Parts: sequence; C-alpha cells; structure tokens
Amino acid sequence: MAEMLVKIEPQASVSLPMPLLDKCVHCGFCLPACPTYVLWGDEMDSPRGRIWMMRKSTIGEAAADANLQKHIDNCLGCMSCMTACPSGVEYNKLIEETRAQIEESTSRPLPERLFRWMLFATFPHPQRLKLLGVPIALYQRSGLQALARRIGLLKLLPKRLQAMEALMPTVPLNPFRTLMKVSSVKTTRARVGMLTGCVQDAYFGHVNAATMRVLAAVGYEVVVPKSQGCCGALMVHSGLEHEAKAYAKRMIAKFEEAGVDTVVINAAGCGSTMKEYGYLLRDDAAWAARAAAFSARCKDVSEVLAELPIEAALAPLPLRVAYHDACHLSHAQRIHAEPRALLAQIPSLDVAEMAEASLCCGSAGVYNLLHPETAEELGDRKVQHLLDTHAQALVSANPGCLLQLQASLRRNGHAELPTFHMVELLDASLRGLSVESLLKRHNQGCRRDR
Amino acid sequence: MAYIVMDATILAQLKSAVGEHGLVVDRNQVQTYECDGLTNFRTTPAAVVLPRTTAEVQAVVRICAEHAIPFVARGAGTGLSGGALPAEGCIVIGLARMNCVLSVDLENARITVEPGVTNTQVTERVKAAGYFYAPDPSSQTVCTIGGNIAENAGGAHCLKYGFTVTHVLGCEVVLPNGEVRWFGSEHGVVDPPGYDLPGVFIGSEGTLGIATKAVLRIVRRPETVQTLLAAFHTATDAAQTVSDIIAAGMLPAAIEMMDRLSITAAEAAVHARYPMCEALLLVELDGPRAEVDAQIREVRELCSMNNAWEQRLAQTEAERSLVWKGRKAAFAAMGRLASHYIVQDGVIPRTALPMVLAKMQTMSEETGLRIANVFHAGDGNLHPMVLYDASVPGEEDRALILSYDILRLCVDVGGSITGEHGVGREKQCVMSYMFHEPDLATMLRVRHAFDPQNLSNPEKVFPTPRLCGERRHGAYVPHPAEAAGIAEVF
Amino acid sequence: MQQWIEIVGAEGVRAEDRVAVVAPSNDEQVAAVLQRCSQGLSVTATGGGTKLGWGNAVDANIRLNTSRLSGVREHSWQDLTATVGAGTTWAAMQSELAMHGQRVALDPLFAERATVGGVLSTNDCGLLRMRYGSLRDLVIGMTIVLADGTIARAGGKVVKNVAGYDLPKLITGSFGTLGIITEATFRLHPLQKNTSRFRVRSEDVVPLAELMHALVTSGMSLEAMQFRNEADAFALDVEFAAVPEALAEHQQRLRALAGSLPVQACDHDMYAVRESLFAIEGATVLKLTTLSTKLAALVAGFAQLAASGITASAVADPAGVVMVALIAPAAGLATIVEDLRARLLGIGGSVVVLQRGALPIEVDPWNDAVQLPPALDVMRAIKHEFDPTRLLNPGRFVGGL
Ligand SMILES: Cc1cc2nc3c(=O)[nH]c(=O)nc-3n(C[C@H](O)[C@H](O)[C@H](O)COP(=O)(O)OP(=O)(O)OC[C@H]3O[C@@H](n4cnc5c(N)ncnc54)[C@H](O)[C@@H]3O)c2cc1C
Ligand code: SF4
Ligand code: SF4
Repeated sequence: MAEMLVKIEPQASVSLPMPLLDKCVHCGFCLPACPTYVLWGDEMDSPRGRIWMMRKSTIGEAAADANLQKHIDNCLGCMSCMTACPSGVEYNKLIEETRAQIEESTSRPLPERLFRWMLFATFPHPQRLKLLGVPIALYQRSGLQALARRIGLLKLLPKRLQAMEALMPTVPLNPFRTLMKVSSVKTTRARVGMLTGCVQDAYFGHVNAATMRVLAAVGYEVVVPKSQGCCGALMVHSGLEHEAKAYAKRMIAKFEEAGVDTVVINAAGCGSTMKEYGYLLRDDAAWAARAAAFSARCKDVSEVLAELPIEAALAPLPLRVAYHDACHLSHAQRIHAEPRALLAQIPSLDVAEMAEASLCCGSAGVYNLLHPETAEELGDRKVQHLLDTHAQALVSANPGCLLQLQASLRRNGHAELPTFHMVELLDASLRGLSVESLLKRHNQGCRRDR
Repeated sequence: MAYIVMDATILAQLKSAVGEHGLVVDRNQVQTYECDGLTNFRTTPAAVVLPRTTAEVQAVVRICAEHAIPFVARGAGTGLSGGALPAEGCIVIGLARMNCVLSVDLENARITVEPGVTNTQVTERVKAAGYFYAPDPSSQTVCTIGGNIAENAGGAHCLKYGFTVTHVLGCEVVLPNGEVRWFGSEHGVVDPPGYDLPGVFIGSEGTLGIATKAVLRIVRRPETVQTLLAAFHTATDAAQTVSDIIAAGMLPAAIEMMDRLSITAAEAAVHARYPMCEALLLVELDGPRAEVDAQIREVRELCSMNNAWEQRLAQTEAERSLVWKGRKAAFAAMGRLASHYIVQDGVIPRTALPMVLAKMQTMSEETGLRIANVFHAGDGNLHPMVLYDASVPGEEDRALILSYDILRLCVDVGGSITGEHGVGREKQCVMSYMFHEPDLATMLRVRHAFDPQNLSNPEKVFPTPRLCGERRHGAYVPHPAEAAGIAEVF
Repeated sequence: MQQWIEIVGAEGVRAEDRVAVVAPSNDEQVAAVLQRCSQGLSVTATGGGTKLGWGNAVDANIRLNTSRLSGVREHSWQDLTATVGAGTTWAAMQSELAMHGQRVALDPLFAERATVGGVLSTNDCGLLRMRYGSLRDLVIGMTIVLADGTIARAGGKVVKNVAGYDLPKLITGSFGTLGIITEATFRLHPLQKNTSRFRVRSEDVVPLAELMHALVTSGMSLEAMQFRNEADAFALDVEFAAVPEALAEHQQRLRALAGSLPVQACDHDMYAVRESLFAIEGATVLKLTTLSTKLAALVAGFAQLAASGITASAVADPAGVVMVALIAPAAGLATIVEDLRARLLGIGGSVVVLQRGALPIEVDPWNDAVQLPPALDVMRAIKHEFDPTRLLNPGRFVGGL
C-alpha cells in the first residue's frame, strides 16, 4: 500500500482543564442524545468526538484548525449530552471555554465575520430589535411578506438571510409598548424581580405580560428593573467572553438595586446563562461572590410557580397540546417535571408527549441563523413528531424555540397550528379565557401572514 | 508529530465509492475514531468512510482487498475491548449512517434492520405491538446491532432470554474479499441447510467481515414483571441467595449484583435510591402473573433466609426503570469516583464467587488500587472495575496488570476471560492463558477461510508475537515505526 | 486391522460389512486414528447409528465409533453445566443429570440410542426448542479432533463466554464433516416439577391455527406445543410447565382461547410423535422449514393428500419446523418433494430428506441441483481449512461439503 508519513507542525491550540476532560470516559451514552450526531452519524459531530478533539488539542496532539472550529460551530449548545451523560461531564463549561479560545485564536472568513457581527449587534439589544421590528411589522402587514414568500423572491436571498426572514415572528404593531412596572393585587408570597429579556421583550411582550399577571395572581409582588439589557447568552454561546461578562455585570447590578429575593426568568436560554454567572465570573475577584449569589437567586418561572400549588381558581381549557422541552430548560437547567406539573393543574388540558422529546428543535440561540439547513432539518423532525401527537397546539417555555417552531410549522404548511408559552396557558386559565379567545390571537397573526 | 496519509489514488477511489460526504481524512477529524469505549489503546486511522448502503460498504471493502489495506468496522464505538480500534494505516468503516429499520413482521416475530440501528431502536419500533428485542447490553441506547452481532452482546436479561446469537436468524455480510453473502436465513426461517455461519460470525468481533443487514427475532412482552432489590451485609450472603434461587429451579429474567462502590457511583448518576450496602441484589422475574407472584414470594423468603436486611419491590414502571437505569449507568458513572478505570469482563462458575471476590479484595489491597464490582450474578459474568489515576506515573500500567491478573484468576477457577465485551485488542494476550495453541490454531483456520489476506480487523482476538511476544501483557505497544523513532503515532 | 488395534486395542476394533469399525477410548486415540487415515482413508464417525441415513450416503473406509467415549464427566449442578463424552447416549446422560433434578432441555429423536455426538452433528432438536432454544443455544463447549489429528477445545464450561470464535456452533449441525466431536459441555435447566398437557382437536384447520398463534403470543408458560394432522381432524398438543397456581389459570385461559373447540386433558406422550413417523413402515420422512405463519397451511396441505390416496402424517413445531411421513408410490413422492421445494424456496424454507422410504434415489436429500446455500463458497472454504483432503464424511452434507 502506498502511504507516507507526514510531518505536522504544531499550530494554534485550545487548552482546557484536564479534570474537566478526564470526566469523559468515552462511553458514548451521549451519542443518541446529540442532534448533530443523530442527523449526520459522524463522530466529529458528537459530544464525545468534540470532547476528544478538545482533549487532543489540549495535550498538543492536534491543532485548533478550521476543522475543529467547524465541528465546534456545529454544536447547538443544547446540552442534551449533559442529561445523557452518566459520568457527569460538564460539557457546558467545555464548549464555552473552547468557543472563547477559538474565537480569540482563529479568524473567520470576512462574510462570516460580518454576519456574526450583525447578529451580535442586534440581538442583545431590545431597542434595536424593536426598531428592526417596525419595518418588519409593516412588511408583514402590508401583504408584502406574503407576496414575497409566495413568489419565491426569498429564494434569491442567501440562505442565512432567508432563514432570518423565515424566523421573523408576527410582530405586534406597537413594539414599544412597555410593561407596567409593578403589579400585585394581594401579595401573599415573596417579592420577585422579572427578567424582560431581549427577544422576549421585543417579540413576545405578551408573554412577559402574561408572566407578570400569573405571578401576581398567585401572590407574588413583581418588580421589573429598567434597562436590564441582555443576559449575554448569545455571547457566551458564541465564545465572546468579554462581552458576555460585561452584560452579566450589568444584569447583576440592576437586580441588586431592585432588592429582590428571586429573579424570575421566562426564557429558558436566559435562565441557563444567568444561573451560570457565578461560573462565568469565577476568576473576577470583585465579582465572583456577587455573581454566585445572584445565580443562586435565579429561577425559571416554572420553578417559582411549581413551588406551591396554585390556589387561585383555574378555569378549564379543553385543548390537546404537545409540550416541547426547551433544551435550555430540560437539559441545561434540568427542569423537566415542573412545567408538566403546572400544566397538569389546568383542568381539561390534555398534554401529549412527543417522540424524541429530548432532541433539540434546532433553535439553539442564533444557531438557526448561522446553520439554517441543520436547524431546518431538526425543525422538520420536530414538526413531524408534533403532528404525530394530533395536538391542537404546541407549548414550550422559551421564545427561541417558539420562533423556530413557528417557522418550521410555516415551512411545512401548518401555519395554522398555534404555539404558546407555557405561562400563556396558565394566564388564560387563571383569567378564565375560553379556548376560542386564546386561539384568536394566534389566528389573527396567521391571517395577517397570508 | 506525524501520521499516516493514504495514497491519493486510493483516496480518489474511496471518494467515488462513498461520495465526498462519506469520506473523512482530515487529521483532526479521523482522530476522533482512534479508539472505542476503551481508551487505553489508540491508533489514528488513515481514513474513515461513512457508507449508507451495502453497495457502498462493498465498494470500500473491494478497494481495501485490491490494495491490501486493513479495515475495521465501527458501530457506535462503545466496545470495551478495543474491538473498533484501528490498525496502523487502516480504514475505519463507520456504519452509523446505515440506521434504517427495513421491515417488521410481527406475525412471525421478525424484524430486519441495518447494522447502525441501535439496540433500543429495535425495541422502540415494536414496543407498541407488545414485543421487545431481548438482548439488552447496558449500553443499549447507544450501541448498534452491528456491534452487538460482532461482540455477541449480552445483558442482564440474557440469563433467561439468551444472547445476541440466539436472536439473530440471519445476516447479510460483506466478506473481506468484497463479496456479499447471506448467512443464515434472509427470511428468518430456522435451520437453513449448511454450516451455522451466523453461529460463528456472531461474536467474531469484526474479523470475518461486515454485517450490513440482520434479521432479528423479537420476543413477546411478558404479562408481568417484578423487580426486587435486596440489600446484604456480605457478598457471600448475596451469592448464596443466588445459588438458592437457581437450586430452587427458578430461572429469573435477571439477577444482578452490585457492591458498595458501584452503588455509590450509580446513585450519584441516577439517584435510583438504592440501599447503601456491601452487596445489592437486583432480581427480576417475569412471566405469567400467577407464576411470578408465587416465585417472588419464594425469592423473598430466600433473601430473608440469607440475612437480607432490606427488601424492596419496585412498585411502578417508573421505579423499575429507574432501578435499571442506575444499574446500566454503573460503568460510565464510575467516572464520578475516579479519573480513570478499566472495566473487566471475566466469567466464573457462579459457585466460585465468594472465593473470587475474597481474592480480588486481597489483590486490591496489595496493589493499593480500588476495585468496584458489578456482576451478572445469574450467569457468573463478573465486571470488576479497576480504578486508577493516569496522572500518577505507572498507575495505568499497574491497573492494566491487575485487571489481567483478575482475568487469569477467572480462568483458574474454570471460567472465561470475557462474557460479553469480547477479546478485541485488550485481552488478546490473555487468550493464550485460556486456550492452548491447537485451540487457537483451529480458530485461525476459520479466520483464514473467511479472510486469507488478514484485512478485516487484523491483530485482534488472537495473540500475535508482535503484540504479545515477550512483552508484559497489555501495556501499550508502539508501532515499529514509532519505536524506531521515525514517527510518533497518536 | 492391525494398525487400528495398535492404537485402540483389540477390544476397540471390529469389522462390519467389510469396513473397519474403530472405537477409540480417548481424544489422543481419536487423533492417532485420524492421523493414520491421512494417507487417504475416509472416515465416518458413528454413535448410535440412528441418523446415519440422513444426508448423502457415504462409503467411508473406516467407521470411527464413539461408544467408548462415554459418560457424564462432570456435572456442576450448582452452576447448571455438565460435560459429557460424545458417545454417551442422550437418555443415559439425561438420567444421570436427573439425579440432581436437571436436564439438557432438548428432546432429540431416538434418545435411547442416539449419542450426544450424533445429536450434535445432525442438529436434531425437538419440541422443547420453542422455549429453550435449539442445540446451538445449549452447547457451550466442545472438544473436537480435526482431520489432521489436532485436538482442539472450544468454548468453555461457563454459560456465558465470548472468548474467540464460537466453534461449537460451527460444528453443531455440520454432519461430521469438520471434525470428530469427542466431548461436549451443555448448559442445563431444571426438570419441570409441574406440568399439564392438553389436546385440542378441530376438523377445520383455521381455528386451530389461530389458537396456536394465540397461545404463542399469550405469555403463558408453554413448555411445548405441536400441530399435527390425524385421520379425520387436526390436533394441537399443548404442554404447560409452571407453578401449580399458574397451571390452573393456564388451563382456564386455554379453554377460553379455544372457544368452541374441545380441549381435552391428556397424558399421551406428545414427545414420541415425531419418532413414530420414522416407525411407519416404508415411510419417507421429510424435514421442512418455513415461517411459523405458514405451518398450519402446510399441515393442511398434507392432510389433503389423503384424497389422492397418499397418507401423510405431519407434525409442526411452532419454531418453524414440520416433519412429515409420507406413504405413496415412488413417482408421486418425487413430485411432492419437488413441488414442496418449489413452494418453500421463495420464502427461504427447505425440504430435507431424513428417511428415504420409497422416494427415488435421484431425489437429492438436500436439493443441491436447484438450491445451494447462498454462502456455499464460504462453507467450502471452511471445509477446506478443516479437512483439506476431505477425509471426514466426504460429500454427506449439502453442496457436497
Ligand atoms: C457503559 C457501557 C456499558 C456496556 N455494557 C455492556 C453490556 O452490558 N453487555 C455487553 O455485551 N456489552 C456492553 N458494553 C460493550 C459494548 O457496548 C458492546 O460490545 C456493543 O455490542 C458494541 O456495539 P457498538 O455499536 O458500539 O460497536 P463498536 O464498539 O463500534 O464495535 C465493536 C466491534 O464490533 C465490530 N463491528 C461493529 N459493527 C460491525 C458490523 N456491522 N459488522 C461487523 N463488525 C462490526 C467492530 O469492528 C468491533 O470489533 C458496554 C459498553 C459501555 C461503554
Ligand atoms: S456520555 Fe459523558 S462520559 Fe460518555 S462519552 Fe458522552 S460525554 Fe463522555
Ligand atoms: S450541546 Fe447538543 S449539539 Fe452540542 S454536543 Fe451536546 S448534544 Fe450535541
């Protein structure tokens, strides 16, 4: 056989703590949990393979080259592998660290850099997102969007811009509508602060409003600090560690000012990031302790609500829904039972489980913008499982998932299938709304869409 | 640093065989295929191909045969004996993309699958109809039917239901010369005239060819299942209970035993709420309700008679699956207790258990290395896990030696060096402790009949002078080129 | 003769039909005999001689008789294993194992005379297969002597073992063409303490076939079951083995499943039925394999032959095997066999001639002219490695192996 030995020059590498890497015993239990492995069936796109590449680079046996970068980029950061791992590998720490180091040591092609810059310049800023929202809303409502979608004009756009367009939710016309500051009827429980988030704030204002109403209805005093900004999740997941730390500090300071016992979060992605501020800022002497204390106070809205049974009256909601686990809730925060327990309290609500429930829908932060094909494949898979349940609506607890699934439903010709945040259903039940009026909001959005 | 690169014309041939997306050659990428679940042995392959069809596998194997390039099949890479470890300059044929269930015949209780389908997926596919696929390796959510066939994988429930070989009625195989043949029956009919080729192919660890389809037998779900946890102060008591259960003429679906260290690890991973004790028995009975009820009473009495201090019957399906999840996570969960460990797979006559455990205790004390034990108690399959810390110089070698000493102990009491994980690279040098030269030579005749060029997963299973010659068993053996200082293999 | 006496002693050698019958008393003697044969003498191993007629006739130069390689050599009853000399008759082995309430859970034909080695070589399984698996699932170790005198041990003495190739499986059912089996180790099962037997009869095949399927999927503790034709009806023999509480419940359920079909508790020896087929004077006996869903139709087809004056007694085992004894004129028999082969070919089934009776000699016992095993080249390569000069039972097995 003809073969030759090739000399390899050491190049840039990543360096990760050996104890974190050693935790991986190479058993492969994470493989079937990983969306990219499920789709492609290659070791490099599995958690085990990614960790192996990190190890190789750390011990100086491989360079942090474009191929490493590619497979690290391919990771959705869904943390499904952590749930599957019997050995307790902290993949979140490994991937974030690797991304941070790659971002520093390697360069990306110019168009790639520009696209990422655009994303990071827009997404973390609710105001900018909202500004983006006005023309979008006009575009959507003028019928231009429907026309453009119909005549296939969008096919001409590069894939990523198409993806962005496809993901655009039906934006409420007045995106600048701000939340009422504090609301509470009769306070029987603690004082909590609420995160408004960036995407949530810009596109899912109604979810924030519903969250506040529900919290108040069950007896919490809710405070919403102003100018919270972004939690920095996108930065953390994309390896922009400096920026992430800055966002974190601002967030911590804002909520410290507000003087709340608990920080309530209704976006799973934000929650999982904020619960890790302690780790993010662990080496910052001035902030480490403050960050850890802050993280300990962060709770997903479902955790807070599930602490005590809801005493307020819950009206029946005769509807069959499928519950979709947001990765950042079920895998990153291990919150699996709580949302189900809450939904189970709503009379007449029938909650179905989907096949491959633990597999990511493809949203994963800005992943669906950076890797539209992969995200679409995963989205289509979810839609299929959703349809198999014969549910009348989809429920999740994360704005990113909802955007992604709405887009996937549209792409598969099921735009009529409504999607809700879990608290919207609780809100409707607490307020005694009928199923019809609950569905109306969705239908309006839908009609505008056509 | 350096590694072996394939000749460009061969690469071009491979590319045309499996397409651009099916060929992996970049060093960073192929390195992820350098070992399986056993990381103590590693070799970077020259290339990895990821075929989607039998025809693609065949095309690749033909290229290998033509150029005399060694190849190794790989399923999910969960093997624990280095079965999927590449040879120098070898091509890894990864079958993960061949993962379709091809047909289901419930009436005849048969299912036909591609080799990359995972063990659990088979059961998932027929569950709703009341069937399951009986062999249940602890790695079942991950490992593939191809890998199960190659290793003749077993699991806790094989005590009653038999191993992989009992459940494979036929398989399509790409022979090492590139020809495709059916072994056994393509239709799942029993006793096809001719030699029992599935019988010898199953468990041949990828050395006789590559399975590309398999017809499996599925089993009707039992009417009822009862799972009992019983905690004992000593392993001897637990072992005696097992003997008593068998002597009473019962054949439980599974009898598993775990020691304190394993319980600790499993508990940390899964929170199965196991009682903390020296020896935990997990007994599962299944079958018709009346029978299971009567037998579980008898088992509980036997446990009490042997001083079980706690007995707990799983009350719900959720509890039962949690109990099993803990047991099945036990190996991998060991990563929580030690930075490194070696899982061994000896088999002993069940009656030798107390003696063997005592001997292992002494060995552990002598070497200062901790040994955790998980045990398929019903059929005598012992899984000692030797814990060590690779960052301590020399400790990895000592751990390996200890693990081989345990295997020799198993052979000494009339047992075997492997019950389900296979010989692979890891145990090939211990083979000559279990078998005599003529025994091995006879097996090699089979090998030669299938693969005269010695290309399919070479240097596995059988001891070779190069790997086992004068050297201490098992320690990492450098490639000759590496030893000569020309290249460093990683 | 002298050369054999030198090896095995005078008591181990006799002549039969002008052929030397040599009976070695240990592995080394077997090896020495085979080595002596390597000059070009072909060898047929014989045990009780109950199945020497299976497969192609072989005119071997010597017969290696295993009768002196007998006895249960080790019975580790606590570990449920036993090691037995290949010349032990099946019945002798079982009665010794029964002393500890155990058995090899398999009911081969002619157990009184058939030896362990012969049963293994012909892969003869009975009705217990449905519950306990076939021979390949019960044999865990073996000693074989190859044509060149190599004595090889394969497998082991523990129930679970994957070290090296599973040669015992390869040798099982190889009709003595790869090596001489001198010893085998089995995994054992406890003898059943409580059993009950029933017979269900029906003139119509369909409800009985449905009952058989319902029983297979019922989850009850079935020990054995067979479906057969009688003079004017079909019968399903059922045996349950379980604790007494379960037996009572099973009986009720069987009656419920049977509906209007009469269920009769009975003592008759259902295990003797297969054997009785061979005893029918002049009968041709065939072994057919097919998918379990096709069994009843096959048996029904045989029953219909009565109309054309052919008697056919068929017994089907739910595992997918039918044994049938036919009495018919030679030409008719040949057509029946051809027709069956043509029909079963498409679904992967086979028709093997076990007892020729009036079947013309031109009809191949294996069907070599029409259907060879798909991997015959691999089988031939194995044969070549094990027995390059074709000394062992040359040509007896399918495809001339
Ligand atoms: C945590 C853990 C627990 C385990 N528990 C058990 C257990 O309980 N019981 C048990 O039996 N095993 C167990 N194993 C071992 C392992 O899972 C099994 O050996 C399994 O069968 C390997 O399957 P795989 O798909 O991962 O194969 P791989 O590891 O990829 O390959 C294993 C062998 O099969 C060969 N091979 C793979 N596919 C094919 C094919 N299509 N054709 C021919 N050869 C092929 C390879 O060349 C290699 O020799 C465990 C492993 C782990 C990590
Ligand atoms: S499951 Fe955990 S230990 Fe196993 S390979 Fe994946 S990350 Fe590593
Ligand atoms: S985070 Fe998700 S995509 Fe990334 S490796 Fe883990 S499972 Fe795969």
